[in-house]
Amino acid sequence: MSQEYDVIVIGGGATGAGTARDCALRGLKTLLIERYDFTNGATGRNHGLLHSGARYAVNDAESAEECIKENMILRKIARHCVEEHDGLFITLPEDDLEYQKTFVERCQHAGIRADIITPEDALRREPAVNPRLIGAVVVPDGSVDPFRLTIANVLDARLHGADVLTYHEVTSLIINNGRVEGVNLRNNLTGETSEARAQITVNAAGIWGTLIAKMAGAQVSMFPAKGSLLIFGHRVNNMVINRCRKPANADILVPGDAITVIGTTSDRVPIETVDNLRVTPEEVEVLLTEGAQLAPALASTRIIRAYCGVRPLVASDDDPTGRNISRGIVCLDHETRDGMAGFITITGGKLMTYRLMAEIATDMVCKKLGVNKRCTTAENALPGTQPDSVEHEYDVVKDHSPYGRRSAGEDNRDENKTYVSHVQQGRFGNNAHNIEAGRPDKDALVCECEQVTVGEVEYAMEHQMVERLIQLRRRTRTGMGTCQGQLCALRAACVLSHKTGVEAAKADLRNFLNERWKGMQPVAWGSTLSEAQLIQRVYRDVCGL
Amino acid sequence: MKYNTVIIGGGLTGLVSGIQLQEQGQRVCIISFGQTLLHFSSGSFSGEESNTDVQALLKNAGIATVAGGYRLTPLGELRPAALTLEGYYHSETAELKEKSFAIVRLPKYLGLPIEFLQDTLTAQGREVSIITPDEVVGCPAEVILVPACKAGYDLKKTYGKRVSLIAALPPSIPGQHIHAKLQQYFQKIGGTYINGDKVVRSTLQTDEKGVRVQSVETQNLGDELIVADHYILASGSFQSEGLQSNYDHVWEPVFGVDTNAPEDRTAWTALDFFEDQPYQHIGVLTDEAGHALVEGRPVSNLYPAGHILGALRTDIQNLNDALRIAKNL
Repeated sequence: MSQEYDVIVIGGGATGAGTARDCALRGLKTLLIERYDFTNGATGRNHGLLHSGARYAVNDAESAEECIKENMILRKIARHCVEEHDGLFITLPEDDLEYQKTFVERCQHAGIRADIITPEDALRREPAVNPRLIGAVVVPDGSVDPFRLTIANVLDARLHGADVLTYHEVTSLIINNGRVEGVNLRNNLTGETSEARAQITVNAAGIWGTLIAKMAGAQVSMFPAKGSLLIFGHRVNNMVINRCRKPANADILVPGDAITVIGTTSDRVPIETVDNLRVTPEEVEVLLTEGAQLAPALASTRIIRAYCGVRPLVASDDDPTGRNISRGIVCLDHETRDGMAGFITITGGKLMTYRLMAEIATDMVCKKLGVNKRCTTAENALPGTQPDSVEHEYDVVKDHSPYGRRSAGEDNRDENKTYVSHVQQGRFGNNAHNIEAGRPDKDALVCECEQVTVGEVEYAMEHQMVERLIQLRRRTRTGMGTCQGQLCALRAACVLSHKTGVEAAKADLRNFLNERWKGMQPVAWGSTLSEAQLIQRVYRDVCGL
Repeated sequence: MKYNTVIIGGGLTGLVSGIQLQEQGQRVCIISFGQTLLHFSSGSFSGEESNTDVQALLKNAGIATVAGGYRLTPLGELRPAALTLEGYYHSETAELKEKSFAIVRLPKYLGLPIEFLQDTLTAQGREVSIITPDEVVGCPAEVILVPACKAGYDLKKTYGKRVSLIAALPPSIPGQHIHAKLQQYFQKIGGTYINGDKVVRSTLQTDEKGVRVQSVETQNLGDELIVADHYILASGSFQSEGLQSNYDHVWEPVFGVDTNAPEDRTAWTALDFFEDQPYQHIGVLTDEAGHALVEGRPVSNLYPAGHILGALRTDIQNLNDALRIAKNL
């Protein structure tokens, strides 16, 4: 198989998906390639913080300014992925209150609203905050669901003609006369090999980008900075809580959906290890101790899992933690830099600035292709947030409801709102009304913790490139709740088997249980250990797996 | 309140030892937190070989079982079982004896992985059809499988031997039935069953004869202490809160019985979900006569039994122990 494209984008994180979207919107024939599922790297392994930029205001003004601009854009174009709840930067007695002055000044300089409030006011607005605080500043932090955000970009790219391949890994670049002409691929599910050709190849592979660049003989020195985080079983706080001091370990607490996330640590790890990282007991210790400083309730709140990711920082100096490296965006033209034409690397940056990174990369692609089209990603809302969403493209007509609960094309949810339709709207925005409902077989619950119905699973299979449980989890939150897949994994695997066949679904179930355990194992004590024992009971004893 | 024996934990082990003791003429009190592992039952009792005493005791309580042979898992595999509830699909050998199966798909019910079950049975050369409850009448299949849920039990009631139950995902209806029958029988023969209460404290007495439990105190009864000659600790493993843990240790919350838990937390778990998990082997310690050890010293009237000794113990092991302990009291 060989296909001709204008541009190939490598990497299914937010940056890659955003770049593919931008390219497609500008009329380029685009292919997006991801070696596993979307958001498998740093995109899916962070706080889900909708940064105001305040965290960088003092040390990295450029990133701070980028963050606040993108923050405001995402609130418009990705409304269904964002929770707007503001954030606090608190000063504790052991911190220097002088820092607050500098902090507010630098925020204002970067264009970030920063209001000093009294500790009493802070406690009233956020009762979970450490009552020992002596100062507080409110900033426009929020939270963002990176899974939802990335898939929305992928969907929009596809709607504008892009092809998308998941579970395809780039094994080498096709290079002719100092020019990258395409990629050789391996299907990671079947082992089949293939190739794809394009005039320009964009390397948006995050930390793995250093390995892709190497294939073109280019050296991009990365600084793999591992960050570990913990998820608590319920939403302890309703505002983001930060420490008002120099960024350090475990000083951000982010509420999102029904949970709260504390993070992160920051440690340099060897690039060879980034595919097999685990959260260490020492990191758990640090996260718990520091987390209780932000919100004392964390000390007695159940931890449902631990996870870690690797920031794709671009190496600059000998900073052993990577805390001082700029979160700034790096876009490399390998033609001028390394004499390798048709090849671009976009890296650095943050989840918050993925859209801007995509814009910068796509600008460079267009310039190379001689295409004169303006970027529109900051104005055009993503699928799910658009007033008129993708149902027209997919021509979905679904109305089984004897009660007229839903009918094609119009959203009459407000009149007959159920809890399930409410959470589905949260997950899919205004695409939610394309989910089949109003029939017992479609309304049956696959996942009780997160209220996922059979209809929703089938919708995700049909429209959101879902064949596996891990994909289903990222699109619908199935298995993300307190039971961590105890009952829902098997139910969902059965529904998925209609598409993949039973054998693949069985293997997938085993992998999924192991993936869930990977996050539970570092925090396997208390309720989490009890839950793990019950999962063993269900799958090993009752089911005989 | 004074009893001959107090049993902490109202699951399978606690109830069976309580029934045995009550039948031996003792005055017995069971204190149950409310949930038991029976709610995760497969409809069979696991273990190598069934004990006829156990089967007879269950029968007296109104629970009819078939000994030996194999049960059918929700995924369609045959697994050895010591005892299986009557009415469930059961095979004497490790092979399915019938050629054709029908599986009933109940509306809105996802507790039985029908696709997986069908696939496994088909792979063994069996003819498998999926039918609706209305199609049971006139279905030519040799075996009609219905999931062991409320609606499945209703079908079983309607069609009798024509349909066979098969275990489904928890909550387990067969487990709830077993629990209800045992509890009713225990109470019928004079036992006291305190439900929804929890032992929060115990008093140990040390004298020249050694260490003894003097009394226990529950959450609801407060000052009204419960006193007995003997105490059976059948409060289960982590999943039933018989054992508790935090980030640096494991403990038994009622009496502080010693455990075999490794000090280092990382040694409680294995990295792969399907590997043997060390925490499944964590249990309280006893001396050779089965007395609980507290700070290394045997407590002469405290006997741990069941999953609190280790979660991988089979139902039959637990039941045999329960009977043995009871007979010695």
